[in-house]
Amino acid sequence: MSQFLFSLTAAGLALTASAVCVSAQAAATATAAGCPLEPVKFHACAVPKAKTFNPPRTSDGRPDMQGYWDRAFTSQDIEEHTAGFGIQAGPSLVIDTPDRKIPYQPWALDIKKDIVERFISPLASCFPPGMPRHVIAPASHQIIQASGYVVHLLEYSHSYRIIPTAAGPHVPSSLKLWQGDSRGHWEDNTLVVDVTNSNGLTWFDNAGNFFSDALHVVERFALVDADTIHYEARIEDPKVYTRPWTMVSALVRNKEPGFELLEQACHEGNRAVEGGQSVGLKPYPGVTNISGGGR
Amino acid sequence: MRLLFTALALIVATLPAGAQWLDRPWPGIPRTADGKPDLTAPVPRGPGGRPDLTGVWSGPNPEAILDPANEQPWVNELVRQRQQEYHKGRPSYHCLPSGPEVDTFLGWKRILQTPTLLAMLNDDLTYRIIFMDGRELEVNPAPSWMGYSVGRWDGDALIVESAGYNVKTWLSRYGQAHTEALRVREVYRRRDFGHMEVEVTFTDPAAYVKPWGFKSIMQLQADTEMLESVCERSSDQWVGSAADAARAAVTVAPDVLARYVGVYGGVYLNTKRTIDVTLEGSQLIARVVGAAAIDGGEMRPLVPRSNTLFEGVGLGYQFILDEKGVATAVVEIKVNGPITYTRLK
Repeated sequence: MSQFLFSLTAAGLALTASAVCVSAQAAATATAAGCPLEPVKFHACAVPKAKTFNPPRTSDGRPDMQGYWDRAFTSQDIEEHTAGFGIQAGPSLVIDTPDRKIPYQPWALDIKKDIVERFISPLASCFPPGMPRHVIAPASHQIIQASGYVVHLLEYSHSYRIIPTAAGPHVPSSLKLWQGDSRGHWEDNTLVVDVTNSNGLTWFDNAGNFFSDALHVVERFALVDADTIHYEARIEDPKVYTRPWTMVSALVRNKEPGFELLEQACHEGNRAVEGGQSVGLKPYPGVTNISGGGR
Repeated sequence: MRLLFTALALIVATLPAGAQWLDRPWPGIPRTADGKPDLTAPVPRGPGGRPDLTGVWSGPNPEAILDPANEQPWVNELVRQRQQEYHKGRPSYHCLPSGPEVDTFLGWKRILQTPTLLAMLNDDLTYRIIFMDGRELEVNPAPSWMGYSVGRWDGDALIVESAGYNVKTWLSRYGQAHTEALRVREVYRRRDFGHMEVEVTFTDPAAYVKPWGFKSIMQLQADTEMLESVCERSSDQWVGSAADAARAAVTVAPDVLARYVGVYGGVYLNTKRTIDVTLEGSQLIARVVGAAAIDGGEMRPLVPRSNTLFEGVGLGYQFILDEKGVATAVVEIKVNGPITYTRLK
């Protein structure tokens, strides 16, 4: 069974070969902006550096994060995991819980145990990755800034997110969106993004780590040096977790000359859904629609 | 009757969802005395003095007339086959990118302009990057769904040249095919704050005798926001075809068919349209003509289900008769509701 599940995620993994993804072992030595990439160490090292770094600026005076970016770790599992078939080992991206695990409520932990044996991974179904996974989704990323907007283009699944930085409050809470509703503002050199309105149908990773449609994310993007972004997401979901928690990852600039995003029309020839259905997996309905979910 | 509806789902997919119209005042835009967005205010300009096309835009369906005489025979044949299949293979019905399809140029999109590129973000979460850094198109680009685009300014007009489309994309919802040699030229002229002229030309000699295209005017969708419109489920299970309709057909006497010949008028999506019903031999044909001509340039053969109900390429056409048996109206039946066209002549 588990072998098969790995093949389900292969469509996503095929694009994970971007250069900077590092394994847990390599993470011990890999660095960016002079900081180790291991998330707790990176956070401790990068946050003070970002406070003193004077970044290049766009014409409207904001820190210029434009360009092509690669994530430091895959989104196979945001908790610590060992290597497997087609899977790189990786450290936990969770930085502020005692065991570096996601603080699920007991019922939620029960569901998490076999969620990937019951449901088709949303990314395998070619759905948009949602927040915060968009930022650590497979393949290369591009950030574009125009006055009042930050756009984050994704090679994977050919999708994007848009972050208005001066556009008022969130859309009404009755609207549930795959990509959620992002509202940004600048705090000094940090782009702070408040995300609500998730439809609760996406996961953090291929391991089935989940949230509900009550998800509230506060993200912080800060340049540590010209080629490194410190990315932090504070996760809040009182339906699912015992407490708010924080995940951290580095984004590292792709400086390959002439680099451009390629196009991935994810639905083209995608057999992962029928493959999953053939072994009894169901489309993921959101955790509050699973029997025993949301207690 | 329900049988007719199976293929009708085709129609709603391209309609803007009502939820798009959020009441979201935009800060800092020119307004009229009564506080509404001033759509006739001057064109905003960027740092270099060029027009800034940034904004959320949407336009009416383009006025491109489908011209079978301009199609090479193989395109003609593919268009015919695709009509027989009720256009079920249209890429967007399978959650695939629409590429250069006519409708996408004017659907909801957010344009963001920077000094070196223009991003066109569609509501289905597909996007195009138009490189404005002076680069040329590659001579032999790798084929893709969304193509490869470069842009340059000619005075206040933005001229975008694109190539590198794969042959899986269509040029219209009616299945007009193209080759990998397709070149698309777009010209954008923002006339004022709220209006932008769009002119699109398709050049592909192996598929079309002459270049063809359309012009339209997009409108700034001020004081609202564009929401995502994500394709969640492919339409692989859709049924219905011309062959199915033919199998279910009944025979209707020629004099009954002749009573329906005429011109009927109605309104669809705020656009006045007429349905011209003609009889060619024993075949009744409906042609929808209106401002949204691309939507109706196609001939719909009407296959009888009864003396008054017909199937026309997945839509239902119900003729309404008065007590004397004279047709007074035809009702076009779609999943998003019936539309009555009253007889004009």
